[in-house]
Amino acid sequence: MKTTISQGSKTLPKITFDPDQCELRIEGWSFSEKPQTIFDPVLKLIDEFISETNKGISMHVSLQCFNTASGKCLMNIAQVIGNQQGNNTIYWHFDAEDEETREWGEDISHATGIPFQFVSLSSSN
Amino acid sequence: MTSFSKSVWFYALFGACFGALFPILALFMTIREQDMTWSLQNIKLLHQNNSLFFIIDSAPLVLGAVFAVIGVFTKNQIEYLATLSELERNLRDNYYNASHKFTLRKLRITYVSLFFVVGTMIVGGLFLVMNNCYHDTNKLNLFREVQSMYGILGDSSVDAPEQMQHEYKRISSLYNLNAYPEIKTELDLLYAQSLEATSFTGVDYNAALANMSAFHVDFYKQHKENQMFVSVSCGVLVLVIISLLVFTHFYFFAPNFLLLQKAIIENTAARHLIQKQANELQLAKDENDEILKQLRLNLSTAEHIRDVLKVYKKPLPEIFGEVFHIDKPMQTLSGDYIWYNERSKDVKTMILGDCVGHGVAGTLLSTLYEEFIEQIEPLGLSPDAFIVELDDRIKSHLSHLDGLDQFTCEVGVVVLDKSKKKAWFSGSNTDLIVVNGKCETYKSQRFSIGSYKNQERPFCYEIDLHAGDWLVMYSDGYKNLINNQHQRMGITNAHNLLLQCKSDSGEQYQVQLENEINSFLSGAKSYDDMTIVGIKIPE
Repeated sequence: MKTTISQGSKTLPKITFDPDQCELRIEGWSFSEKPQTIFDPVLKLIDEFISETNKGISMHVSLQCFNTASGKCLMNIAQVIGNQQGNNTIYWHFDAEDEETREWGEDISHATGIPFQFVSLSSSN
Repeated sequence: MTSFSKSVWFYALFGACFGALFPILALFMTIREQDMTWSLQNIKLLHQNNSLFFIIDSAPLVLGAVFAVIGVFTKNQIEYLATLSELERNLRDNYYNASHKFTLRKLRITYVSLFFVVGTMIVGGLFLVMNNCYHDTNKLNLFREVQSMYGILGDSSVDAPEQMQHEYKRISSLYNLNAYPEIKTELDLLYAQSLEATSFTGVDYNAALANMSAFHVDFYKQHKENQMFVSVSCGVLVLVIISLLVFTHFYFFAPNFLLLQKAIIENTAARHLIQKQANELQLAKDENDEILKQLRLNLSTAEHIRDVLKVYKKPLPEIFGEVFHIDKPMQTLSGDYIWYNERSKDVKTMILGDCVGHGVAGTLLSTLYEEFIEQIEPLGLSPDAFIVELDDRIKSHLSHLDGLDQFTCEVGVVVLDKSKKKAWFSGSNTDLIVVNGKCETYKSQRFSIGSYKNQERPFCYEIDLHAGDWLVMYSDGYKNLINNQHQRMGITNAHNLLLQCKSDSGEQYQVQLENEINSFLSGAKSYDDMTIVGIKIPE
């Protein structure tokens, strides 16, 4: 059953986790100055889920806008997923014209050493 | 005349008009039956002969009054309906059942009204039928004929007997005399008398009148008895109708009124509760306003203290020449800051920092960072080494705290050498933009001072400068501005504005850039502190 970790607001992203599909979705905007309060539970959840089930996880990040602090938190989540064994995949969704968001994805992928699947609104690569 | 009385008068008039049909119909039927002509005299005569007409005549008054009462009820119903509709709107959930019951009662009222209209018509019809049943107009007419026969008896002319015989035959042909033996006897006696006499001279007229008077008394006695029966029956019927009215009111209307009154009382109670809650909200608002006032006062005090804590520095233009600095805190005080220093006549340092947090929290952290920057600057380090040193000192200082990642800061450090026309830059999540004909971006590393996770090592750029170039740094609050249409500024737009507003004058550059930013925001509030600083490379 799908679990909503964060409902989402003007400054917070919507975060849902579907254990049946092994799918984590992060969508919307993230402007909190303390994004750890919302992303730390996600970290804990992923860590527990993977260690208990030994299943791979798919994370879909589809943030239209986020601040640096949120970018750091995403990097930490990607790091945790990357450190786990199993078939884990991170999908980085971005607007085809939003180069900055794509660059953020590339930077996180580079920093964590985890290959991302980049998905633009118009095409996939 | 108010709308209320208009409504009641309308009903009363309708009832009176309806009631007027009864005497009109009664007169019409009677006059037609008796072959009489329409005249006031005949109408008066009918009333004199049949007192039931007076009761029938009262129908307009009675029905007018009854309909007026119905009008009052209906008016009240309409008003209560309007009230209930208002209640239904305001308290739809609470009064759903009441509304349902009220609909049922509306149906009942309709049926009851219909019952009274039909009932009144039936009762009126019964009056007429009973009148015709018990009021034998033939007998009355015969009585009048007998009276006229007695009148001939008083005529002493020789034609009188013949006239009486003629009248007798006429009466015999018109009426079934066998049905009225007592009248037939009287007429036969008179007729026999006319056959025997050549004239009525010498007839004992007084005895005849006495005889007629006795007949008259006898006839009216019976007639009055019949009328008495009709009157009593009508009285009983009226009583039954009034009883039905009273019963209907108490059985159908009264509970309905009680229900409405209950709803109104509950509505009033709900209004009082709402008013009470509104008062409580107002009190809470007043308290919040007071708290807000205190917070603003505290912010103002904190701002003053922050200014006192800052080391005095010459104004920016005195050190850098043409320069602009846009500082837009989200909450009076900002976690963003700029720090600058003049290492020598030609070598100057400019640092833009963006600490986690806004308001007092942000400014306290920025003050801490500025203190460490003050300590590191005399070491004359390159920008990348400066950032690493700052990171080390902060971590060392805050090592006793859990969650060090909560006190991070992004900085951009530029060391500018005017004589060599060179600049050295290193940034932690803060880029340097050189604005000339385009925006050349010197990308910073993914590095947050005070953080342990996923850090890229800062890198130092050596940049050749040209006269007229602008070195610009900004906190992420600038590119993350969001307007009322939920559009984000983004790097592309942010750099376009830097190009578009570029001017040789720092002051003009700042004014144009601020205008463009305000135009983009269209009054939308910021989600982050925003700082932009620009330095022009002189000739």
